[in-house]
Amino acid sequence: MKSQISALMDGELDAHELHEPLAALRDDEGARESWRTYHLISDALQGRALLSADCLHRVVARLAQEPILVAPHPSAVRPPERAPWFVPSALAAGVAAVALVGWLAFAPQQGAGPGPTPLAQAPAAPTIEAAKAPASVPLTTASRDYLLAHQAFSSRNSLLGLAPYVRSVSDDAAARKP
Amino acid sequence: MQCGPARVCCAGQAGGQLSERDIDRQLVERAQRGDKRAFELLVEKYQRKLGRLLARFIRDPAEVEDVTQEAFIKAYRALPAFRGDSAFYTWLYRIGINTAKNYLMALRRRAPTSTEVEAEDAEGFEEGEQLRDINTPESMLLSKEIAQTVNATIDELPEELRTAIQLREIEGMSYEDIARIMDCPIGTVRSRIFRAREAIAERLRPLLDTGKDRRW
Repeated sequence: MKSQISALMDGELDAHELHEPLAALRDDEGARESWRTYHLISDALQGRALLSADCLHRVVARLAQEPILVAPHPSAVRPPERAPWFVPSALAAGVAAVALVGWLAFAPQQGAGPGPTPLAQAPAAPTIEAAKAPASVPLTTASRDYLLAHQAFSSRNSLLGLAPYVRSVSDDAAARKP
Repeated sequence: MQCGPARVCCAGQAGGQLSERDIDRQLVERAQRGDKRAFELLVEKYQRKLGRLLARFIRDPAEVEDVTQEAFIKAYRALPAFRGDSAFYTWLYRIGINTAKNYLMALRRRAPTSTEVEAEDAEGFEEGEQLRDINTPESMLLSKEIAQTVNATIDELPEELRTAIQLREIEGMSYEDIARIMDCPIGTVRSRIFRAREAIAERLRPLLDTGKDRRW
């Protein structure tokens, strides 16, 4: 451990070696003594005069009276680095998502077009298509009034963009004409 | 390659190695997250360097220590605002110089403009011969004893340990450069410097009362 502290003070540790000596310097008084003594040796070799032992002691004593800092971690505040393609890709994905939601919300629902479905012109050849087509049922006046009163709840007016798993009804005014 | 006095400039530039500035930043971030001991490590590291700088402004050694102490407390209080745009010691020295100037203004003295040090120069700043001794009588004797012990121990070290520690501490070389000069692996340089430091520390221990009340 002392060897790591020696290398640490020289800035000669790899990043992956950093955790252990820093943890020791936090928790182990022996490690801290080595840190202090190695720096003292360094300063003595470089001709720096010593301050009195009381100087450090007084600083430490005053620090003990200071409130503990709770500043945000700078690296947490710093935005993470992105790959060069990240921003345009994110923009494209966002536009695509908005377009999809918009299409789901506002696209004409199948079988609920703006006008009455021309059932009479539906291709009759494929049997399966004919079976899927909604039935044309003559409506009574009461039924029409009911549907008019509740058209606000029809799937066509939904803005949620969800698949309308409800039956749609349209009124073919032309068919009602004699 | 030599870095001169500001040995931080060449420490740990290769690969995933951390420079001294990186180490300081790690300690600052830990202090910013509430680890006071991390800040104490920075105090222990820079107290003498800062004291030497402040001695350019203030004559009385006892006052130098007071201002040094005040500068560290101001730095601690300002630590949440430190964003790491400059090296920690550059930032600390700026605080130290401002603290010294404010102190002198309060005493109605005038700072010595002829030797004034700009904060921007702090990174390359090293104490010159013209600087006054900041030792108090108490610490002067001990300083002398410590210096003598360190030098005597270095003289007694095996050649390879002595060369390694001198190239590192006096010439400011990186382990990589020392390894090239001594023609040995970097791991051997690391081991030799550590062993040299331990040998010196062992000889210093009787001089240093390293109890809680007497930390150097």
